[in-house]
Amino acid sequence: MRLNEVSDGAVVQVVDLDAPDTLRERLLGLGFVPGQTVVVGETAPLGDPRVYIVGRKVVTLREAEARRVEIKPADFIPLAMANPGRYVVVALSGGHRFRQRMANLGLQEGITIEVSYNRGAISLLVESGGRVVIGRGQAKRILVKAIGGAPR
Amino acid sequence: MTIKVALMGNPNVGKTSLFNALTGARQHVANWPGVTVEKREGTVLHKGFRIHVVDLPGIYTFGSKSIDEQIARDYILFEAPDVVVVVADAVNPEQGLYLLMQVLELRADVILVMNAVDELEKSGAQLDRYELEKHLGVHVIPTVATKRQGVSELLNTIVHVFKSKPVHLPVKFRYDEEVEKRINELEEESSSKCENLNVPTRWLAIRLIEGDDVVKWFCDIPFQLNEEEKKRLGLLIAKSRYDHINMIIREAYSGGLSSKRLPLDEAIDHVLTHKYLGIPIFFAIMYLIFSFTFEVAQPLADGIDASIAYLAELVKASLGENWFSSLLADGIISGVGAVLVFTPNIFVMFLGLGVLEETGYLPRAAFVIDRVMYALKLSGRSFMSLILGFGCNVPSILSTRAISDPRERLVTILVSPFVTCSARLPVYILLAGLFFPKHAGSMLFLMYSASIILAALSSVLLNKVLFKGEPVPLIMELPRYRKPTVLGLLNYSWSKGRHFLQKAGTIILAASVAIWFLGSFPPGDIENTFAARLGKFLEPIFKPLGYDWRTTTALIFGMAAKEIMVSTFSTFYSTEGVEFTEAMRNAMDPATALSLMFFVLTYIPCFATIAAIRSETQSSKWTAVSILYGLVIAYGLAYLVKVVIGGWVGT
Ligand SMILES: Nc1nc2c(ncn2[C@@H]2O[C@H](COP(=O)(O)OP(=O)(O)OP(=O)(O)O)[C@@H](O)[C@H]2O)c(=O)[nH]1
Ligand SMILES: [Mg+2]
Repeated sequence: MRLNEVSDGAVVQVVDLDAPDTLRERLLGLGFVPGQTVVVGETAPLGDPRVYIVGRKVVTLREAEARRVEIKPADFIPLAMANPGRYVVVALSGGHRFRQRMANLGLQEGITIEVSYNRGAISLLVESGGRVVIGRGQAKRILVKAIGGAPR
Repeated sequence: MTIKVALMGNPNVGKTSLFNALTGARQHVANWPGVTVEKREGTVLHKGFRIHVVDLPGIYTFGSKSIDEQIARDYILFEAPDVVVVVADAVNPEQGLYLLMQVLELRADVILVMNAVDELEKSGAQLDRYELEKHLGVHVIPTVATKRQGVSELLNTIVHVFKSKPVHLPVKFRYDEEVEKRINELEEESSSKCENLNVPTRWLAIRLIEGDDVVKWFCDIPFQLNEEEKKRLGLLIAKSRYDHINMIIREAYSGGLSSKRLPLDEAIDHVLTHKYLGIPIFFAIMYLIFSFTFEVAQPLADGIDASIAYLAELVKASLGENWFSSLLADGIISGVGAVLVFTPNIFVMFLGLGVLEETGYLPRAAFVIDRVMYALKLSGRSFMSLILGFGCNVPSILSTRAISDPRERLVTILVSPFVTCSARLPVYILLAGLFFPKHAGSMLFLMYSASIILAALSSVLLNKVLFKGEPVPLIMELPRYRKPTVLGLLNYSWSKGRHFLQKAGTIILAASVAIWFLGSFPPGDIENTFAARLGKFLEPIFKPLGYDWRTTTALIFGMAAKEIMVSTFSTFYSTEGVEFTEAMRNAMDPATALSLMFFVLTYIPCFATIAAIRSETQSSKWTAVSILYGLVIAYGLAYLVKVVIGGWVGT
C-alpha cells in the first residue's frame, strides 16, 4: 500500500521508499525511514497536499510524493479509527486531567475494551463491564492495539 | 587569533537567532523553514580570540538540491571552518541528530547545540545533556537563542574545541555488516582518486552509497553501485542511524517527550487549514492586513502630511521667496515629505507581514493554496516567496533560492515584480484617496488582487510558452506555532521599514532635487522647463492613455523607485500655487487615474528589483524579458482600463 492511498487520520508504518536519489534522501532526512510510524493528518482544502506527522514533525507532501512511500497499517491505531472488535489500550496521549477523566470511565493503559460501533462517536464495553460512549476528539487521543476475537 | 565557526542545522531550528545572539547582529529571523538563503558572517571577541561566525541556510542532509542548501553544503565541504556548530531543535531532535551523525563522519571538531530548551521544558520534558555527550562524543550545549541563554557557554566551548583540536572521530558509528563491507570496498577504490576533496574516505564512500552526485564531480571513481543496491544500502544506513538516534533519545530525554504534537497546535491547524474555512480565512487575513495598512495608519499619515506642509510654509516664510527656499521647500521638503507621509502605512503593513512570518502561518497559507499553485506548475513554496513580495520584491526574489527546481525558480523570479510591493503603496493611496475617496480601501484590495491574478496568469503563460513546465514536488515542514513578541514584531517592522526611510534619505532625496531642478529651470513658464520638455518629448507614446507630460515624467523617474512618482507629482503640481492634490484632481479624470494605478502595478518595479533579477537569474536575457514583458502588460492593461472604465463612466 502507498501513503497516498490511506485516508486522513490513518496511522501507518513506513516500509519502503520508491524514489530517485535526491527525493529519497530528502524523505529520509525528514524521518520517513522504514519502520517509522506516520500519522496521516488533514488534507488541504483543494484536495492536495496533505499533512503527515512524523514523530512530532509536521510535514506536507503532495500526492505525487506520498505515492513514493510504501506503507502498511501500523500496529497501533487511534481509537477513533477502530472498527468493531476487541482491543487493548496502549496509550492515552493527553495531560493529567484527560487521563483522570478517562480513568473515571475505566479507560487505562493495558485494559481490554470491545468496540461495539464507531459512527463518529464510539460506543464500547470496558473490562469492568460498563458501557461507555466517547466522542471522536477524545477517541483520537487513545491509542489501541487490535487483539483477536469477535465482539460479543 | 581567528576561529572560523560555521552554524549549520535543519531549517528553522534557530541558527540565525543564535547567530544574532552570538554576534549582536540583527539578521532576519522568522518562523518558517528557508528564511536564510545566503551565508552571513559576523565577528565576536572572546577570551582573546576573534570568533568569526558564519550563519548558513538550513539543510537536512548533504544531498542538496536548491541553491541555498548548496551554499550551506559547499561552505562545510570547501571553506574549511575551524569548528562546526550543529544546531538541533530540542523539541524535535531526531532530524537534527540525523544531520549531526553525517557531520560526525566528516569531522571531529563539532559542537552540538540543543536549541529552544524553553519550549522543551514547557512541554514537560527534560534533556540530559551528559547522556547525549556520552553517546555522541561531542560537547552538547542547551540554549535558548532568543533569550541569549547558553551563549557564553557556547563561546567558551568553541574556544576549547579549537584549542584542543580533536582530529579523531569521537565515536565511529558502525552500520550493518553488508553496508560496512561495501563502504570498505569503496574506500579502497576512492582513496587515491579523490585528492582535490579533503574529506575522510569513509564519508566519501557513504555519500557515494547515498547517491551523491557532487562527490562524483570531484572524484574520478568508476561507479559500481547499481540503483537497486544504492537504494537498499541507503535505506539500511538511514535506518541504522535513526535506530541509534531513537535509542539515544530514549536515554537522554525524560518526563515523556511525547510522541504526539501539541494539542493546541493541532487545534489551530484544524481551523486554519480547514477543508472549507482554510481558503476564506487566508483571504480574510490578507484583507485585514491591507485594510489595516490603510485605515489604522491613515490618521498618523494625515498628521505627518500636515506637519510637512507646515514645515515647508515655515521655510518659505523665514527664508523669503528665492531659489534656495524653493529648492528646500518645494524640492526637498515637499518631495521627500510626500513620500514620508506614507511611513505609517508601510510600517503597519510590515507589522502585519511580521505576524504572518512570526506565528508560523505563512507555510500554512502555502499549504492551503498549494493545489492552485500546482495548476500553475508552481508550488506552495513559490507562493511563500511571492507573498513576501508584498513587502519588497528584492527579498522575495532572493528567497527563491530555496526553490529546488530551476524552472520553477526562474518563473517565480520573473513573475515576482507583479506582486505589488510596499513602494507602490504610496502611489495607490495617493490616487485612490484623490479619485475614489469613498472606496479607497476597496481600490487597494483591487490592486492587490489584480497583482496576484497577474502573477498567476503570467506563470501559466511562461510555463506554456517558454518552458514545458512539469509539476514540482512540495516537501515542506510546518513549524510549531509561536506567539510573536511585541518586541520581535517591532524589531521586524523596523528592520524592514527602515529600508523605506533609507530610500527617502538617499535616492528619493536625490531624485527630489533633480526633479525640482528639472521643473524649475529654465525659470519662467513651467511648460518650458527641462522636465516639461522631457515629458513632452515622450508624451506621444502615452497619448492613447491620456497621460500628460507630468505623469510621463513621473513614470520615468518612477523607474528608479516607485515612491519618487509621488514626489514628482507633488513638485510639478504644487508649483502652480494650489495644493498639489487639488491640482491633480483637476488635471486627471478617475479613469485615467485608475489606468495609471494599473500601469504602476505592472511596469518596471524599480532599479533594485531589476538588479536582483539580474543577479539571481545570472542572465541579461531574462532580465530584459522581465522588463519588456512588464512594459507591454502595463501599456496594454492601462489602455484597457482607460477605454473600458472611461467608456463606462462616460455613458
Ligand atoms: N521559543 C524559542 N524560539 C526560538 C528559539 N530560537 C529560535 N526561535 C524561533 O524559531 C524561529 C526560527 O528561528 P531562525 O533563527 O530564523 O531559524 P533558522 O534556523 O535560522 O531558520 P532558517 O534560516 O529558515 O534555516 C523563529 O520564530 C525564532 O523566534 C528559542 O531558543 N526558543
Ligand atoms: Mg536562518
